[in-house]
Amino acid sequence: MMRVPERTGRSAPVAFEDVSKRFGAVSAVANLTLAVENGELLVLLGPSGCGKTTSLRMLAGLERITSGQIRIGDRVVNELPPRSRDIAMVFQSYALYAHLSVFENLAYPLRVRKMKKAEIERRVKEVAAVVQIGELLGRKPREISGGQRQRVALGRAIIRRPSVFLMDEPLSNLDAKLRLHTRGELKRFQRDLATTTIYVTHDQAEAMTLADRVAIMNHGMLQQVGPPKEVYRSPANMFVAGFLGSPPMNFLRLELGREEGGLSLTGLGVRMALDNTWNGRLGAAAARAVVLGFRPEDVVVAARPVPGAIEGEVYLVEDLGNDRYVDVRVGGQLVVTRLAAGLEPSIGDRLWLTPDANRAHLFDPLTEDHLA
Amino acid sequence: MEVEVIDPRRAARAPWWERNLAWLLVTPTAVMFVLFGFIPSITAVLYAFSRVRLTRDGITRELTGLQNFRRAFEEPLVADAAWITVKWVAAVTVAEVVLGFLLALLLTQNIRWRGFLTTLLIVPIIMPPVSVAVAWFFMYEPNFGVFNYLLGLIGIDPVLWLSDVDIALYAMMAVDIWQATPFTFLLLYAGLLALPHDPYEAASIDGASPWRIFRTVTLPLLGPVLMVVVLLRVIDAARIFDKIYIMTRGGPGTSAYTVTMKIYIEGFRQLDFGYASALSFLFQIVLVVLATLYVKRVLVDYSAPRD
Amino acid sequence: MVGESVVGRMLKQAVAVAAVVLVLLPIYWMVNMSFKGRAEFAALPPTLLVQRPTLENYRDLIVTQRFDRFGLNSLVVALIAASIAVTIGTLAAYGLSRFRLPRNLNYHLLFTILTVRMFPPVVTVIPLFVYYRDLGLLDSQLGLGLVHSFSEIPLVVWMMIGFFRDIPRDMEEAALVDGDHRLAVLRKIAIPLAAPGLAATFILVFISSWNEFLLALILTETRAQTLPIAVAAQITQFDVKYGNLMAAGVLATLPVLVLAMLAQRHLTRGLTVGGVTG
Repeated sequence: MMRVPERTGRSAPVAFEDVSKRFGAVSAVANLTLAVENGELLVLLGPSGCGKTTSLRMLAGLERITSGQIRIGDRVVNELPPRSRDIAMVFQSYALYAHLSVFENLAYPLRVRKMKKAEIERRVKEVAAVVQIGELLGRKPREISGGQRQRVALGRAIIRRPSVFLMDEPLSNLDAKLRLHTRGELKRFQRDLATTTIYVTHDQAEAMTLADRVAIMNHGMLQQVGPPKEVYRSPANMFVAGFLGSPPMNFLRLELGREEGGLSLTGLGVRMALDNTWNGRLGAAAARAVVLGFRPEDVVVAARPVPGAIEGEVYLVEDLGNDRYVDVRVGGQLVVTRLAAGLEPSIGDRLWLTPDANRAHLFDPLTEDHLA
Repeated sequence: MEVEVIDPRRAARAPWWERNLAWLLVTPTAVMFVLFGFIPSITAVLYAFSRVRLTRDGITRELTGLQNFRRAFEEPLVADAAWITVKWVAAVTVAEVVLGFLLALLLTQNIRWRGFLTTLLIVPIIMPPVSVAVAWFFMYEPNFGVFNYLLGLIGIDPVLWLSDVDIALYAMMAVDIWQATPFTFLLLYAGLLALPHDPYEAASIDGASPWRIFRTVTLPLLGPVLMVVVLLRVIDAARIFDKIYIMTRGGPGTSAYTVTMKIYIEGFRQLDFGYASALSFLFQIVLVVLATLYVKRVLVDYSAPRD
Repeated sequence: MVGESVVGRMLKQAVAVAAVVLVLLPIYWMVNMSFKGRAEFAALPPTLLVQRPTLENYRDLIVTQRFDRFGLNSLVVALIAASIAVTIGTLAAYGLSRFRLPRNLNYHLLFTILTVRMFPPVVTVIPLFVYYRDLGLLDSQLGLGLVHSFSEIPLVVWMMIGFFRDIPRDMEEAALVDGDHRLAVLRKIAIPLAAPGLAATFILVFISSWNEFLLALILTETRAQTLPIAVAAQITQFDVKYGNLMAAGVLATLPVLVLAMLAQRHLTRGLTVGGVTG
């Protein structure tokens, strides 16, 4: 467990203002506008190639900005080299200086700034204690384990007490157990340091646990930004809805019909009535094709027929120990739902699924935007 | 206790030399190229079209148009030199590649002391051509050289290895083959070692004979490496000068006048710079084609770094 | 290999050893001969192992003919060549491997550099001779060293690009974030990590310069004459002193052999760009 470090007072907010990055004809980041609040931990989340790492690197000064500007504090930093931006970065591969000892790795940023020898030594020892690598100071990076290297990388980042921390998937090279453990520590750590942190990852579980706010990107564009709960519960489009949550949200392509009794969804052998709560959310929508989205944990499963429910046949039962999921075949598609205790279906059984109306979403099949 | 470190770099843009660092890093090389490559080349072209005389303080130069080139095409020795060079390049390259390949194939088998043997094999490559030429020169000595001695043991008269007009060129080829075969061996050996195992396993499971495997698996896979090796040797072989100069100065007679030797003689014996430059210009054209082919191949997997 | 006969294996082993013996034979012969006195080397049959080893050949070369002076010339020229080529070439290699120049210049520059390597010096040596004469650089260690360094820059660039590629980029990026400017990154990160490759490259350039013949022949005369030229000069039209000749060959080879053993591991890569021989 890492000890609590001292508070610093120099954190600064970060702002991306219509930032774009193009490599030739390829657009890696398109018109990113994002404000990171002072002291918050913002996670840039998305699949590989979505532009999150490029955005981070532009913030760091390791990539040139094609258009737009980036501010740290109130300064525009577009033309500043990395060293003038008062930032620190933890790389995915840790990027430790292989030919230097752990001590020298930690001391590097301080030596560059020509700090006095005694002061350097004090700070290194202090940081080493915080990240708990005090006894490794004399070793070289290749002589220590992956987890220890990660902590050296972290130590090197915090030793300067910068205004902003940048982290590029710092946990992805750790094994699963260590990753979980370090995740928690990082969160508390960042809170205690109270420094603005931009954290890049493709792991949505990591993002949900760590973030004060999550910014989801895809194909270079920002999809949605907000606190994890909000983005989880109210996704702005199908991509966000499908990216967060494991197992992912189920999507069924259905027809929305307006009838006497109210709204209904039909298709795939399903006939679901929507209650009045939906009326308000949909407004005066006419009959149209929609995509219904609901999460595996937001479904009530019954072994007996339920009116208005989605009927399907069990395809596979997955028992993960603490949770059970069943894959149900509905009209050619597979729907995953969580299984409550008490039900023991076998392959081939018929089940009736009722998605929780309050938690379900409707999306436009074409634009993939959220409808209700 | 927070010690505030005043950082004077906080608001600084990168200085101009850092922003243009790439250009600055490449400039010294570019300067060298201009001084020792570009300028002499242009001058050489100028000489090729002129008559150049060496005087006490410098040179005199008068443009003569295509005269040097016309002479080059008319002089029989030039055509001879071209032919001799072609013979040399062809014979030497074929021998070196074939022998090197055989050696490489042999050493990829289960041979004991393989590493040690390989290390020893590399020695001829780095030896000064001078020493190589000198060593063989002595072995070729008619009276107490080892070759004639061995021939004598089986009752053959001594051969005038380096003095016989018909033999000397080939005797010297042997020297080059001796020195360069380890080179082709090294590259082909590395190439063979880098080949994937899967096709071989599949082929042997399918029951193909060793010869068939060689023909349909090894040769095609080794194609690119072979091409690089052949090209490299051809380019190097065309430049041959040292060994021939040392052993016979291009003789006996003019039987070993390669293009390079001819250029040297015209330039620094006859001191006809213009003519020599014209000859080297023509030689150059052939080499440019070969060199371009080679470099294209070698840079095949080079890609410029990202921004 | 499964299914191979014992005889087959022994045969292959024998051929391999025989090949190596054949390859080393001339070298052995030269060394052997260099220790033979006048009387012994003319003897027939030639003795396989020198019976009465003597240093008279070496003594004659070094003391009487001042071969140490030629060796010194070769040494100085090679050091000049290697120092200049490695410095200039490494800078260019770093630039070409870490930075992207516009209009695909990286590729074009590298292409030009490597292509020039393939040209024989005989082409540019004539104007060079004239220029050197005018500048007083003829028959000077510096003059020859400069030309050699130019010839070897492509080799340096080729090898150092490879070594710089092996250094992970994010280590340099970490240093940039930590506070270094680009040249400091080169000095503190790239060069230390590429040091073994740098040393090997230096050695290869040194060997190339040491072995070089044509340019040395043309651009030097008496003062700056290098070892290979001096060795070749032992073969005169008149009475060739074979003992001296062999000793000279050995002397020229020794330093190169030692250095090559040191740079052994990186040899193959360097050889792809045209080797170290003439």
